[in-house]
Amino acid sequence: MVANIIVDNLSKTFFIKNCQDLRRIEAVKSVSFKIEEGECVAFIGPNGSGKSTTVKMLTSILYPSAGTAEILGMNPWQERRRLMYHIGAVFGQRSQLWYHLPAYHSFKLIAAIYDIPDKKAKAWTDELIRRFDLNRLAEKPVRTLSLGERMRCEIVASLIHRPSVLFLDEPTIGLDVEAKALIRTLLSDLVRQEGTTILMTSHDTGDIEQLCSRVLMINHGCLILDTTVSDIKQNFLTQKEIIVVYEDGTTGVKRISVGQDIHDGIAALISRKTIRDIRVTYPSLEEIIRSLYAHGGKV
Amino acid sequence: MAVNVTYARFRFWGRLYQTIFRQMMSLKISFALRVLFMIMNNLIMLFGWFVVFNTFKIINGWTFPDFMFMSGLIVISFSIWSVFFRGAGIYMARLIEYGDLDTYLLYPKNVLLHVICGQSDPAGLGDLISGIILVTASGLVTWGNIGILLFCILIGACLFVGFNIILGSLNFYVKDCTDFGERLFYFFLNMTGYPGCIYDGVAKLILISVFPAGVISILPVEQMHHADAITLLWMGLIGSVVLGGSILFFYIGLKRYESGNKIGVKL
Repeated sequence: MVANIIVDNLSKTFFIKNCQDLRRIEAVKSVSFKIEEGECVAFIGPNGSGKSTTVKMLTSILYPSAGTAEILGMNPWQERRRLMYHIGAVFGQRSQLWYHLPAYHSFKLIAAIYDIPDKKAKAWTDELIRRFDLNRLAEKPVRTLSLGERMRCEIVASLIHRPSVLFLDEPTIGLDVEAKALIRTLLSDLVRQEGTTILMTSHDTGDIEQLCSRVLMINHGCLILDTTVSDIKQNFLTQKEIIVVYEDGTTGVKRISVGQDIHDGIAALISRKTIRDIRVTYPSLEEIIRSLYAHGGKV
Repeated sequence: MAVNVTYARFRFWGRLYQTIFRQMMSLKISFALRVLFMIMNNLIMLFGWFVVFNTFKIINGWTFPDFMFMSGLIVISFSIWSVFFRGAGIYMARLIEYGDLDTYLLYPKNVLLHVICGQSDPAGLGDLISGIILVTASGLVTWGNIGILLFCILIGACLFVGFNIILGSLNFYVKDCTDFGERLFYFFLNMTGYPGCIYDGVAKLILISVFPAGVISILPVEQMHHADAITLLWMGLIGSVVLGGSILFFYIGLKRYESGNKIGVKL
């Protein structure tokens, strides 16, 4: 496999002037990782951990203070314009669509920005419109679209030049359950059909579970975890809960370690009263991730 | 290959202006009102000076047609900035202030050109129409000096665009400078709006050099009456220095750019 993204000791330091003091903030500290062609990787971390700063450096919006990176063999800061023909980016809070016009006009302008011949651009845009089910929506002014509809249009806008690498910063932010599910399915199809490499930041564990095979976790600017999603579930799942509902309607909960004999736990609960129901639950990915944040990548 | 690159560039600018005008025309009533009221605004402003010139006839050698020509020329130069390069100025300043240049940095096009061409004000068309009316009605333009007129318009547009790029880029260097930049621009615009005959000596020297408002108000009227190569060269030099300097100022500032997280849409 070819590494589409290579990041080596990337750092970013901001200097913020506060009255007389010049404060030094190390937003990203010596982050290194590689992402193979066709991989979909989640880049997660608490607010202010350095996720967006890293993505902005990789998309050449910010210059790094130290370290290097290569995207598709190109240096993002020295070959910005050449690189931009091959990468796409969606920042959940920002729009590249013209507010008063139907999205279709923005798609046509974006095709011209990437120097794509009209015939080729039309064929691919129509295909994306079909895949993202935007037939009717692409003709409506963007201001009249819902957030979920607009986000689908934003993703189409970022795919018009068929990028090999796609950076997604909170692509499902603020969307309802249905819109989130639709966008995840569409992105998953894209990875499968086009082999697009995706680096995605998200606070939504649903995005991670359904789209990504690998997780990079960053906290206080340092990369604290680089593992697969299945490894997280296997290695960091240390406890499970036995919950019983008694005949009188009250509940009893017993937390045991994964390797511990379940009989002891159940016995302790059923010895008290007659039970109506019993179930064993595992912590959700969200709980595991919360615990990982709290303990610096270790549970 | 070179032909393809040039074609692609023109196709991009063509499509960009097509999109801008489409957006303007999508709000037809607002568009028409802004054009109409800008024409009225420019013509009403002239009325006050008509009264002054009607009373005194000649002020320091200037007549009312000279003033009409000067106003028309400034308004045409202003409209070129307003219609085609309106992104320079407040729009650019806000993009920098709120860390919103990201969208432009993600495209494989020249960032500065894309930003300054990315906005347009329909009222600028009103300026263009009233400017053409004023210049034509002044009676100063002949087939012999039409080249000088076009040269003066070009220099005027360079000054308006360059000055606005500088004011917009100030936010790279000093935080929260948008309001200051806007006021400075309107100060510059006001200085161009008075008949050049009221300035003399040091004031005139300042206005045709360090604060070049006079390059688009005083000098063009003089050149329409008696053209001389040195003054025209001087005007060309000032225009080039302001525009070239503004481009340099923007790109040096861009290295200090700080991206932001503001939620927004492209208006």
